Amino acid sequence: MRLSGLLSYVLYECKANEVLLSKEISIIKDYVALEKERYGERLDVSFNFSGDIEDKMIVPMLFQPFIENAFKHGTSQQLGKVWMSIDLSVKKNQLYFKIINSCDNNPVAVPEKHGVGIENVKKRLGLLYPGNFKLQNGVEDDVYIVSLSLELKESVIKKSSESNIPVLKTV
Amino acid sequence: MNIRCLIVDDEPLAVRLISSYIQQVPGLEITGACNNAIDAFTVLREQKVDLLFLDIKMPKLLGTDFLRSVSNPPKVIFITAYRDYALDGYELDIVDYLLKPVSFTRFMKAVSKATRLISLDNNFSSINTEYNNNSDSFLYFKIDKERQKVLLVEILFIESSKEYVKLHLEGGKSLLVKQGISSLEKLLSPHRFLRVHRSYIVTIEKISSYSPTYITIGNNKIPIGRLYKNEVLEVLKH
Repeated sequence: MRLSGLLSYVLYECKANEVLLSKEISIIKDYVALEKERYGERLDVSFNFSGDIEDKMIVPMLFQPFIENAFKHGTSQQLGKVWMSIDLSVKKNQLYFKIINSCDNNPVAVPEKHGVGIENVKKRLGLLYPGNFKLQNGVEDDVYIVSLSLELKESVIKKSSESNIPVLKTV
Repeated sequence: MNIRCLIVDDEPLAVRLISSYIQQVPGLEITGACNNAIDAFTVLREQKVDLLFLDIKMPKLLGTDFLRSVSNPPKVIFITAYRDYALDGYELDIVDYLLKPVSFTRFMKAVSKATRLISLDNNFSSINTEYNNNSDSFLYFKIDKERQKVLLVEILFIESSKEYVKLHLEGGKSLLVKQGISSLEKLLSPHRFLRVHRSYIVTIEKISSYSPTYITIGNNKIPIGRLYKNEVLEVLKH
């Protein structure tokens, strides 16, 4: 069920310019839950979603590349116990997203390959939130950190929803 | 909080009837009505809907097929002129199945069942892992050559001492982490932790009082650095 939910989200719902942040969060949770199936007890994930999340809108699949990267370049390269922390909080329109994953100290495990995915997200952010975001990534001791701060746009959802209820106006 | 209802039905008369029923019930409100399932996708994406009144036989996309493809659907009540979909109803875990023409009494019965389930869900999620319950989030810190798990709610404040930092925890405990304070700061959410001094980071929700020069957490007085003062007071004011 989770997988089908993810697929239908990616295929159909992501066409919109913006989606509910809470929706995006439930997709993150579903995706991590799927990965967890694979790792089992070996993986320890910390979630923190806090602040003014209700009714906020965001461009779809914005965080997904970071999360996939964390699994692909971080935890999947390691033996033994691995951990990850995903933290997203909103204060007024200011959103902070931070993902931390354990990685080996050995430099080979942190290749320069990170490039493409992150570069694409940067471009996307530059187009969608010009001048309103700050993205940092790097290794700190033996953990990999990506942090993103973002000024969310004032949401314009009310307008589009009204067009869907013409029937009611005649009631 | 009101239960937000969405009606999806291709017959305007049915929509009118159900919305007039909804309006008669206190605690329910209508967020929208769609005459096809495709539009309903958009509404579900953009708005919070608690309860969906869904017709089945609609042009383009059947209500049942629509429901199958929605991730995390709201509670659903089928409203249809056909008896043949009851089995799908079980599979899709719907709340109730109303056969047209729908009487108000039968409608009320379905709604009260849905209300009960929704309030159950709400209680459950507020106790459980929904937003603003950060009690189980954690980080692993480098302690004695290995990474040790520390729950973030345990941390009162963080003090730097040379190449180590000391995590001051609830209950007078403390842990020595082999990491510089600025490097460790990068692991922490700025909405939750605040650098107040060259040598100190505090957990915002643990602060019991503050003045322009120091912060009190429990019995500890933590100085506010001159360089950090403006930013700290700005954050604490909100």
